[in-house]
Order: sequence, then C-alpha cells, then structure tokens
Amino acid sequence: MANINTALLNDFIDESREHLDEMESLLLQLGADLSNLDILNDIFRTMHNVKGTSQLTGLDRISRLSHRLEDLLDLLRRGEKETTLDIVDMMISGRDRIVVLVDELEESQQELSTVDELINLLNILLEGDAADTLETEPAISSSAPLQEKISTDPTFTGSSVTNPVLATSTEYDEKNDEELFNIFSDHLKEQFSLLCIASLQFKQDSVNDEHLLECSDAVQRIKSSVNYMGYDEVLDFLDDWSEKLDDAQESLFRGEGVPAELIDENIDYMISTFPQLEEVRQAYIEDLEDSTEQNNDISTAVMDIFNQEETVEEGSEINLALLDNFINESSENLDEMSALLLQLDDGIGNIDLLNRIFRIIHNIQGAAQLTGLAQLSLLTQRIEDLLDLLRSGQVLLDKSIVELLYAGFYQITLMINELQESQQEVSPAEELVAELVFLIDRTSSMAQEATDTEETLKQTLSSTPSQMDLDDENDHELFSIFIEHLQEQYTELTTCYAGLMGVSDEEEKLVDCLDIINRLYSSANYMGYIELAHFYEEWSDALAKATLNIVQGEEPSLDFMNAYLETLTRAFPQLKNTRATPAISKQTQQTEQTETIIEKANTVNSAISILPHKNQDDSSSKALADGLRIRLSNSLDSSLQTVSSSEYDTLNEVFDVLVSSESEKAPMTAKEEDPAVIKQQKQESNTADETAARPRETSKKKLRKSVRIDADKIDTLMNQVGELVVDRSYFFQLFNEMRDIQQHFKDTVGVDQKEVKLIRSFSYRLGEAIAALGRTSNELQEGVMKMRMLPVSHLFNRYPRLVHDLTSNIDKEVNLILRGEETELDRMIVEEISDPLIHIIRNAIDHGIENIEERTANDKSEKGQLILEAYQESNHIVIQVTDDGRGLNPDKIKQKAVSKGLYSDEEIERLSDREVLNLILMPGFSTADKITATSGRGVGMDVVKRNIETLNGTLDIDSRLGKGTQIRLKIPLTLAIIHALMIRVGKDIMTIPLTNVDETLRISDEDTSMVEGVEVIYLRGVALPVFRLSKLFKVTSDNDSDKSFVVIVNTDGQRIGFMVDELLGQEEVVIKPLEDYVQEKSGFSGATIVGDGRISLIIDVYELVKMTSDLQIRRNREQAGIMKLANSTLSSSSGEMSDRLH
Amino acid sequence: MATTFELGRQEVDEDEGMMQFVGFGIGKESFGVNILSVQEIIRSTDVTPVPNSPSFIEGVINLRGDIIPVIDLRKRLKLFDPDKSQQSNWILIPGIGNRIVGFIVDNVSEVLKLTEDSIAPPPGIVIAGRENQYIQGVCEIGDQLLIILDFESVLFNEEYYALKDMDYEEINLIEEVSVG
Repeated sequence: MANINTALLNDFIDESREHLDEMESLLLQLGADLSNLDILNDIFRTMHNVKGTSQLTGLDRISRLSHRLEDLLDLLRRGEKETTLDIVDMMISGRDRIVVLVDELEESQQELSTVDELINLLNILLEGDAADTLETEPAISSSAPLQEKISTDPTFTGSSVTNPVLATSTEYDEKNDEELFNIFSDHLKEQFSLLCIASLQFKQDSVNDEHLLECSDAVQRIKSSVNYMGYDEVLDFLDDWSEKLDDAQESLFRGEGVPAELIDENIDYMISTFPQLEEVRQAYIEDLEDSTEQNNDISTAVMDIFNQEETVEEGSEINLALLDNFINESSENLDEMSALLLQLDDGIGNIDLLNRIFRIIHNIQGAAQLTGLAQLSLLTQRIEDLLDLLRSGQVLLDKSIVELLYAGFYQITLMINELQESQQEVSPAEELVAELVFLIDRTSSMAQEATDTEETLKQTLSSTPSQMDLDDENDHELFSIFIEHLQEQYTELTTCYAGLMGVSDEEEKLVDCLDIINRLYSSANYMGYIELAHFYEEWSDALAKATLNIVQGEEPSLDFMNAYLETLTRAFPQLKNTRATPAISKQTQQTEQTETIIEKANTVNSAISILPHKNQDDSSSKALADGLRIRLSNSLDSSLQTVSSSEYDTLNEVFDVLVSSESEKAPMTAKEEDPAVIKQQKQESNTADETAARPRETSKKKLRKSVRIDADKIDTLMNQVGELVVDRSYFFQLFNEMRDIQQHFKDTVGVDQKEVKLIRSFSYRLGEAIAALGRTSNELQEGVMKMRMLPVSHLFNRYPRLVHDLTSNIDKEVNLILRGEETELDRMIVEEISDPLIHIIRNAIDHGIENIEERTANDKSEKGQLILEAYQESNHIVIQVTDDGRGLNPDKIKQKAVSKGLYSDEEIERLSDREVLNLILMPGFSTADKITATSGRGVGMDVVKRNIETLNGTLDIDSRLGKGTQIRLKIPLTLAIIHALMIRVGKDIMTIPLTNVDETLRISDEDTSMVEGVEVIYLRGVALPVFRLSKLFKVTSDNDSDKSFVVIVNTDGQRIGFMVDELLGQEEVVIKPLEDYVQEKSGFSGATIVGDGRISLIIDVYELVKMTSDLQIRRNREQAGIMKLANSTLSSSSGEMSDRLH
Repeated sequence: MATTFELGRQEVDEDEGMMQFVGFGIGKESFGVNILSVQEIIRSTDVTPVPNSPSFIEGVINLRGDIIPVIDLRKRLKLFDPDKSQQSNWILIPGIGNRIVGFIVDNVSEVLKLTEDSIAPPPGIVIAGRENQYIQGVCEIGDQLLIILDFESVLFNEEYYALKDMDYEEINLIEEVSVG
C-alpha cells in the first residue's frame, strides 16, 4: 500500500479510465457476440494495459485482479474455454471493481475495496476450467489412468490451490529405477519436514517473511529433485506452489496477510501423492505439540516469538477493571508520542527523542501486559525492540523506519479506540508485528554476519571439491544428465551475474542467482556429491548476505561471485565452453545478452524435445514449458532492464507464440518454428535502442494525439475570445459611424469632393480590415469552441451498460442502437444532460418497451428497439431517444389530469394532442402515484425538462399509441454563446434567447383587448396574454405611436407575448454571469455586452413568465378581495389564467 | 475574504505606525477606507439598472468586459442628501475576494496618512445596531470627522443576506411604495 507511486498515480487514473471505458463497451459487445475473437483480443489488450500500468504504479489489488482477468481472457482467446454470458458478467463485475478502486485512488490515493473474493471466483473459474479441458482431451498413452484419478480425486474440486494432474507415487515407483527413487524419497522427506514445520508455524497464526523464504526454498529443492526424477505432473504442481509462495512473500512484504492454508493445502496434496510423507508430518505435529506444551523453542528463534504470543493469548483474559485506566493512561501517552514522532521526523537521529519515545512505548507495553492485552503488548514489545536497536545505533533511523513507527503508533491508537468501544482487541496487529520482527531479525543477523562473511568465503574457496572424486563413483547416465543440468544452470547463472554488474536493481538479480544456486545445490545433493553440495550451500549463504546488504542499502562486494564461478569451472572443465559468457565487459553487454537469450530459447527447445520421450502427457509438457517460460521471462525482465520496455512486450509476444505452438499437440513443429523466433529475438535485441526511440507502432490504432488541459484554462480562453467578438462588433459599429460622418461631411458640411474621396477610401479600407478581423475572430471562436467539444459518443457510451443492467433481470430484450456518435457537443453540456438522458432511457425501458410476451402478442419483434440518436441542426444539437414500445396513451393522461384537478373536462378537451403529451412534464404529474402501468411515464420528467431548459434547450415529446415514443432534446452547441433577439425597451437594450422566441408581430393598439386586467391579443384564433416589458421592468417606454412590437415567447408549453419598443435584430451574444444577489428573482439570467460597450440584460423567459403570472394572481386576489391560496407553480397558475381568458 | 482585509490592516507602516487611507466624500460627510482594500477607482460610467434587484443595487457596469454590480453608497448608508443634483462621479472598486463590486461616491479626495493612535473606535451607540458594523472607527482631521469604513461589511453583513432571502414580491411592493 505504501508502495503506490504517487507521481504516476494521476496518469494511471486518467489512462485507466479510458481503458476501462473502452473495456466496458467491448464487454457489452462481447455479450452480444460471444464468439467474436477480435473483441476478445481488444478486451485482452485493454486489460493488459490496465494491468501493466497498475503494476508500474504499484497498485497491488488492481494488478492482481486484472492479472486474473487477463488469465481468464487468455483462456477464452485460445478457445480453451467457451465464452458464456456468465463469464462476461463476471468480467463486467471485475471491471466494475477496478473502476471502484480507481475512484478510490482518485479520492484517497488508496485502494480500499477488496478484490479477494473476485479473485477467488476467478480462480475457481479458471481452475475448474483446467480440469474440464483435461477431462475432455483425448487420452494419450499413460495419462489415461491418471485422468481417472483426477476425476475421482475429491480434494481438488472447488479448492483454490489445485493441481489436476496429480498421480499417486505408486505409478512413479513402477516407472522408475527403485534405487533412485529411494534417494528421492529420502530427500523429499527431508524437505517435506521443513515444510511441515513451516505449515505448523502458519497455523499459529503468524507468518513472517523468513518462514515463507524457507518454504519456498524447500519447495524449490523438492522441485529440482522432482524434475530430476522426471515427475512432470508433480513438477507442474510445485511450480504453481512456488509461484504462490512468491506472491505471498510479496504481499507479506507489503504488509498484507497471507492465508494460512497456503501451505497446508499443498502439503495435503503432497501426502496424497506420496503417502510416505504422512508419517513425517505426524511426527512433526507431535513434536510441535510437545514443544508447545513445554513452551520450548521448536527450531528457530522466531518460533519463540510466536509461542510467546500464544501463551500470552491463552493465559490472559482482558482485565476489565484495569481497562479504563489503561485507556486513559495510554491516550495521554499516545498524545505525547505523536508529538515526539513529529519531531523525530524533522530531526532524525536525535537520541533524546528516541529515549522519550522508548519510555512511552515501554509504559504502554507494561500497562498492556498488566491489563492482559496480548496483541497490544506484543506489538509494543516489538516496537520497543526496534527502538532499542535504534538507540544502540545498530539500525540507522531513516524515513522508512519513521514510517514504521508511525504505523505502529496508528495501530496502537486504533486498538485503544477499539478497546474503548468494545472492550476487545479487534484489529489484528500481526502484520505490523511481522514487519517489525522482520526488520529486527534482519538487522541483528546482519550485524553479526557482516563481519565474518569474508572469512567464510576464504574457507570455502580453499575447500573446493574436486571433480575427480565424483566422477567415478556414479552411474554414468545419471551423471550426464547432471552435467547437462549443470551447464544449463551455469549459463543462466553467468548471465545473471553479468547482468548484475550493469544493472541498478541488484537485489532482483541476486535473488535470481540464489535460485539457480539452490537448484544446483539440490541436484548435487541428489547425485550424492556432498562436498559440492556444501560448496553450493556456502555460495548461497554468501549470496543471501549480499542480498541483505543491498536491501539495507549498502554497496555489496560482488567479487566473491567471480571467485565461486571460477572454482566451479575448475571443478567441472566441461563448463569452460560456456565460460565465455562471464567475461563480459560493459560495452559488449548488449550482444552478450542477446546470445543468452538465444541460449535460453534453446533451453526451452531442448526441454520441449526431451519431454515427449519422457512422458507422453501433452498437457504436462506444456506446463513445463510454461514454467520455463516464466523463469525465462523473469530473467529476461531483469537482464533487459536497460532495454526499452516496449521490447519486453514484443518478447512477451514471442513467448506467446512459443507457448501457443507448444500447446499444439505436435511439439516437433514448435521446435521447427523456433529458429525463426530466435532470429527475431536477436534482431529485437540488437535494434533495441532504435525500437525504444521509435514510437510504438502497435498502439497507433485508435490512439488520438491529445493534450490534457485544465478545463478552467479553456474557459478563460473562451472568455477572452468572447471579448474579441464583442470588440469586433464595436469596431463594426465604429465603421458605421464613420460612414455616417462621411455622409455628413458630404451632405451637410459640403466638404470638397476630393476630401470626401480621401475619407471614403479610408473608410473602405477600414471596412476591409474589420471584415478580416471578423473572419479571424470567427475562426478563433469556432476553434476554441471546438476545444471544448466532445463527441457525443462520450455520452452515449454510458448507456449500453445502463440498458444491459436494466434488462438483465426482467423479461425484456432491448436492442440499443446508437447513431451519430461522432456529433460534437460542449463538454459542460455532456455532463449536464447525462442524467436527464438516463431518466429518459429508464422510462423508455421500464414503461415504454413491453415484455416479450406482450410484444409477440402485438405482432412486434421480440426485441424492443431503442434508438439513441444525435445530430446537428444549425446551432443546436438534437438528441433523440426513440423506442418502439407501447407509446403514451393520451386518454389516460387526460383522465389523470382531470382526476388530479388540474383541468376541467371541457378544458382538457380543448387541448391538442401535443399539449396533452406535454402534460407529463408537469411537476405534479410525476411525483404522485403513477398513471398506470400502460402509460406511467413522467417519473421525474419535470426535472428532466427543467434541466434541459437551464441549458437553453427544449424538449419535445411525440408518441403514437402502440407504436412508440420519441423524446427530442434540442440543445445549443455551447453554453457560453447564444443566439438571441435584441430588443429595446425605453433606453435599455435587452436580449431574449432565440430558443424561446416563437415569432414576432407588429400590432396596433386596437388589436389588444383587456381581459381581467390582462392585455390579450387573438392570434390565429387563440388568445395570448401580452405583457408590456416596460411595465414589468418599470422603465419608461418611449413608444408613442399606436403600433408596437410583440415577441411571442414559448416556455414550458406556454405562449406569452412581450410588448417591446423596438426589435433590433438577431445577434450572437456572449453570456456573462451576473452576481447571484443581483440576478436572483430579477427575471434575468445574465448579461451581455453589446458593440458599443453597453450592457444588455438577457431575459430569463421562464423566470419572467413565472413572475408575471404570480404577479397577476396577486393582483387578481387584491382586486377580488378574495384570499385565495396562491398557487405558486406556473402550471396551475397558467391554467387559471387560460381559464379566465376563455 | 476576511483575510484580505486583515492582511491589509496588518500591513501598517511599522516604523511610524502610519496607515494610509483613501478619502472620499458623500454629500458633506468624509469617509476613508484602507488603501490596501481598494483595487481601483474609476470615473463613473453608464450604469445599466437591473429591474427587480435589491434596492441599493444601482445597476451593473461594464468593467473591461466584466459585468459588475454597483452599489450607491449614499443609499446604502442611508445618507439622504437633498442636494443630489450633482450626479455621482466616482466609482470605488474594492477587491473583496473574488466578488467585485463598485461603490458610487460623490468625490474622491487625497490619500490620507493617519497614525493608528488617532483612530478611535466608533461610539457605542452608533454600532449598537448590527447594521452599522461597517464602521471601523472615526478619526478627527481638523474640525472634520473622518468615518473609516469596512467595505466588506458594507456589502456582506446580515442585511444583505436578509435582502437576498426577501421575496421579490416584497421588493416589488417596496419599490411600488417608494415610486408611488
């Protein structure tokens, strides 16, 4: 968790969001077209990207989850598993979890949600599959009896650690030389006993790094002997095991828990395979029981700690009487400690501070023990140990240790808080304790060992075994295998060593070396070369120390490696041939690496070619190849660190090819193909630098070049451009004035024709310049606007998932069709209409589209159709949602409207069909009980409508009963600039958004008549209320003629006329916000600056209409003197109004 | 927002204990504000009235492309001057956080340097009501009294919030009354 690379995190979040979005749509496509390999490949690619970046960023959970998903995808891709809807759902939920994790990362820089249960599910899926595949595969010679065993083997079903290819040892017995087998089983027992110890330690609930290391060592050793014996199935299983152990080690290192059954389960398998081992385990269990009783050391000092812990736990009940005291006391202590830790952070190395912290921890520890708090006292004890080391200077205080102290501090605080709440120790402290123990152990052993490393080395070197002694004693055939193995390992070792000198990440290399030497050790052990084994042992010890040194951040001397290598070469002259490799100078390193790659590939080859002879079991040979591949890619990974990562990818692909060819049942073809592959590898390595420099061609597809810009910056730029537009119109106005002056000079002043010509030519050129400015500013404006534009696909791509989720549990099938996804829309608008669209789509599916039964009954296709469409219409974007469902029933709506008392019977009859449909947009209509199942739309449709209107957009409904419904949203391209009608009222210029304007009229006074204090005009037989804006805004009108202009506006389905003094024309205006306390309830939505710098207020038609009707109601109330309850909603008030008008 | 002012107040010329104020007048009264709280002073331009806005809002002006509201300080401070024939000449624009507001005043005098000691707290009775909390202090210059204002409180005291919550109908009524 602490390993998250925060520098990369933001990039990771952005990038993976894109991948995840893509993945979602791909998964949904896959759901519709299960057998499409292309889609699978694309999903695999995106998943791989997510995995890669998450690993790079150090996000453990995401990478683990995506890794498993990738495995699953790989199986699907190779056709080893059939893609089913369940699997797609599984992957969708996996993807969702990653999304959740990414969200969490964005918020808190931490992965909070767990992934384990999903991973377990995936594991079951994956391994169940492995068994399936095996069972269905045709039996090949000896594997036939084996398979029977598998299918009857009860242990492996449903378990997370499984190896389907388990065979009993009896089979092996027969196949192999008895003597050899005895040696093997002795060795096995020895190693197994180690494992048993470890397993028992695990059972005691405490896992630490050392145990895991021991285990994995033991497993490695067993592995090599098994390899020797040619038990491929077991080897496969062991491979798996050691991988798991490595994982566990890693997760432990990060401070996470390790499942205790990790080893146990595997041990069970081992026993079932080799029954001899059962006695060994029994012996150890007894042994352990004894020792626990006596509270003795079992084998290691570490065990001590765990025993101690156990006794403490057993022997202690929390003393509740003391608890309160303890909590209070330690809270005080902790407060002080927190202050001290902060200081420690600043002044690292202050002994005084350390002493004080030590004292506090000691206090807490004492009190905790007294109170009987086992966990807490254990934890504090460990911290105390660490502090002691710090005080004595054995451990240098650095940031990481301060972090650890902090972690300890938080843990203690947490535990005390829990105690306060529940009187119990809830949170386990093991992780932290393990970490502390690890650190302390390492340090103390370091201190001792560092001194005598060199001495030991000298000794070992002098006691080098001579090969001569060994040669004769042994069976010749076995020996040649041994030598072959040795050569193989030696090559690997030298490569590793070579890599070691050049690479910064030495630790990894050393671990690799250690692995190899361990392998060599077991083979030597096997052959009975005791001296040689001893030599290896020394070597691995030396290496282990060096690794520790590096972990500690010291510069290790690696000369001993050379010495050991030389000794080995001396002992086995056969190695001389391969010895060429270690003499690597840094200049030639690159080519050397290439060679080793080839060698390794050869190794794979030979392994493959050997396998069919040994065992005909095809799947196991594949497994072995897999194992090799892992090893190979591991060492490649590190040896090629200097090489670009892209090349590594290509190499991976090469291996993919390798493995897939292996999985074909003719290994010989694989062999034939290999030289070509190697060639390719060689080329790749040689041209590594070029490859790195070249942009990756493979990822060119779909990759758009883009720059991430802060949205605010674009908004600022947009404002500036708006200014420019205003300035341009100012210039234009000046130009007009200029011409007026020109005319004036000519007509009134009577300036000479010549002079006038001068002016005319000037004004002409001015006009040209202004036109040019206009062009440029228009283009600029467009360009900036486009910067804010996103393709509608960004919006639309959210909905397939919605539809998928909505239909997954009901018996409806919906085919969602997206059209015009490339249409572009302002970023802001995309965000704003996302929710309204969800609403509309949900309505369409819930209420619009019928279920399958009903559809077939009505002669419709089973699958409902939902079309989501976007297109541009002049300066607007139209988004249409069309379904072929049952449509809206106008009669039912009317009925409902009457029953709700919104309209009288006569009124409702007068409404046009369109108006009736629009009734569902009324607020009252949706929140109350739904109409019926047949036409129950309008859930929250008023909200939708309002949302669209705030965007200066409009909403239309069209519906045919039984045929379907269409909802049409018309939204301006951008929020910042609108088309508007400029009008004049008195001295003021005002702006009405053109979206609200239906038409303009010129009327004379006779055309109006008064109805209950409201002026009304009759327009094409319909009465429209008309308001004088001058009255509404209390400005003096200068219109004294009997003709005036009326602008008919339309909002909320209501048409109202505004009487104005003058129409000034249409213009594009830039909306400027008004301070909210100025704007609120004023009837204006903003302002704009017109050409001459004057301010024009933009009328908020919706608000103004609402205000006027409210005002009207109040006046009526006052006039009639009736105290009627004011109905504040526009709908009802306008209803009343129209009532009166008629 | 408060910090702007507090910072301004703290940035006193330490050596002399002097503070600088922009002096301005409305009618016969003289006022001062801390010079550090004033962003700019402009000649009054065309003010576009906003119908139905709070009564003390005179309207909006175009300040280099930004539309900012202006407040008639005379109305806001309830200084009813019969001699209002001379149209307001100056607009003081303080930098109040990110809200920019203009205050219309009659005239702007010179920059005044005052020692901190010479500023007396306002008389208790004056600031007894919450409304008058915008008076920071008073200072005697010659035979005149200089009232030192806190622009932030002028706009952002409770009164403003009360106004904000007021129904527009009431505003209309008030205006109708005042017009009628």
